[in-house]
Amino acid sequence: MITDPYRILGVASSATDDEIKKVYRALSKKYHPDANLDHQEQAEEKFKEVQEAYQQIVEMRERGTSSFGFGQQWSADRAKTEYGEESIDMQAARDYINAGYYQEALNILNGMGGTDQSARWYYYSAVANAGIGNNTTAFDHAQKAVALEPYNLEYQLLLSKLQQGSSWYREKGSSYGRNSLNTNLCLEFCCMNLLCGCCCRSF
Amino acid sequence: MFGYIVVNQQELQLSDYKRYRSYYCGLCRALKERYGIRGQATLSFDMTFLMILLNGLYEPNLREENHFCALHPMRRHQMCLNSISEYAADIGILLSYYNLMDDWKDDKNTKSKMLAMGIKKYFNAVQQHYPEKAMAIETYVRELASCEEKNEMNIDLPAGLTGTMLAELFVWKKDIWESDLRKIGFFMGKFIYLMDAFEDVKDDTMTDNYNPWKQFYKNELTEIFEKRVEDILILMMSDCAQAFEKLPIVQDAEILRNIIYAGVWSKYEAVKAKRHKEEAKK
Repeated sequence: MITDPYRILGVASSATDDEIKKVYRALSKKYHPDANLDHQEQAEEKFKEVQEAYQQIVEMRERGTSSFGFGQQWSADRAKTEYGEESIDMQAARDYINAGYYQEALNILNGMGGTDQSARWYYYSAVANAGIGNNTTAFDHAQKAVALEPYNLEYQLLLSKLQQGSSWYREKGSSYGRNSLNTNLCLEFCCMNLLCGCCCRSF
Repeated sequence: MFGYIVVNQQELQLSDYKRYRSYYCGLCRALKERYGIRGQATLSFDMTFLMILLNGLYEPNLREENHFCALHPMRRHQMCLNSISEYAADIGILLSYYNLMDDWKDDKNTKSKMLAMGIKKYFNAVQQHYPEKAMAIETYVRELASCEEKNEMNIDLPAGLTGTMLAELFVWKKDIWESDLRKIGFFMGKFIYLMDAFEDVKDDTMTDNYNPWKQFYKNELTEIFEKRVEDILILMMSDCAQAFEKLPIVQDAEILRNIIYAGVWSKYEAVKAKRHKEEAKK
């Protein structure tokens, strides 16, 4: 862990994501081992430090809010006592999720054979599915959890976290002409193929 | 099979468009140099995207060359080449070979078989050079077949297989960026699979072939079905885009964003429009 990654890159913590990327590029060029044949070792050390600082900033911003994206760190909170005690299976699933073993958590949840149809089951399943990239199932189960217990803040939060990504993407899309896309484009692609002069086939 | 990862040309600046084309032509050149005219036939937009992505991330030196091109002998074309174009060319050969063999197995398409045999020699060489990449594709082909056999209804599962395969192909070097590159490849792969299935859902329903969208296509009104597909596709691309934004890519970032945020939807809009037209005719 670097205590102050911004200092390593020499930028203010208020710098935009783009500014940070640019600074990273400049520094990584400067310290690239191939560009420093005289003192390769020191350069490599510095190069790695710059990489780490960059990654650390990305992670820090991911946890906060920034255009770098949204949190991919999933975790499940312990069921509040008002819902009663969780079964051993559910506790194990939660422990696995919190340790980052999403597939193991899913194995347990799916192995329960549908004996538990509670909002909490759907919630854990949503979190574990999100963790292994099953984003469709995650979304579906988060919706089910909210439908079953509409006033649970935790479930609402998860669902809105999953929805947030989509609305952010849509917004970005409109600035790249996603909305004005039409079928004439198809024709243009064909023309481009001809221009480039290679018989293009998709793989 | 694929071919969805294209630019939205209308919104691309002319300089960026020229740049995109020189990458595309560079890939074509790399294929020709390494694998001759048969290799050239495997040229794809998808591999062009991978090439621009990896160039943006690693910024290795690019050779800018001008060459005549067999089909357009009147003027020279600008091309960008380096070791990444060679990698993209090699991966393109692997994918094409499996894809052609798949066509042969599924439809007994003799033309595919012939084309596959034509690049077999190169395929073998690439397979030796990148055994883990070839293995990823082979595993994908096998597991997808078993998914189809089981008539798997959870769309995350078949789509995830394409995702896992593409994730492996996106990793050029094992380093600090590996996990984000994998994520980009994974969600883009899922998008590609689901897009491909969306394009085929009508035919697959008629011929009773496996298609994970079929359960919804058969039972839902067109608008509801399309809304469902679009929401899920957006889910895929937003996860893909989030991983992309984490990488320190500045060079050609606008081309890449044009593809990620808009270009990938071109085919979707075209398929939808075609289907609406057909329905209106009825």
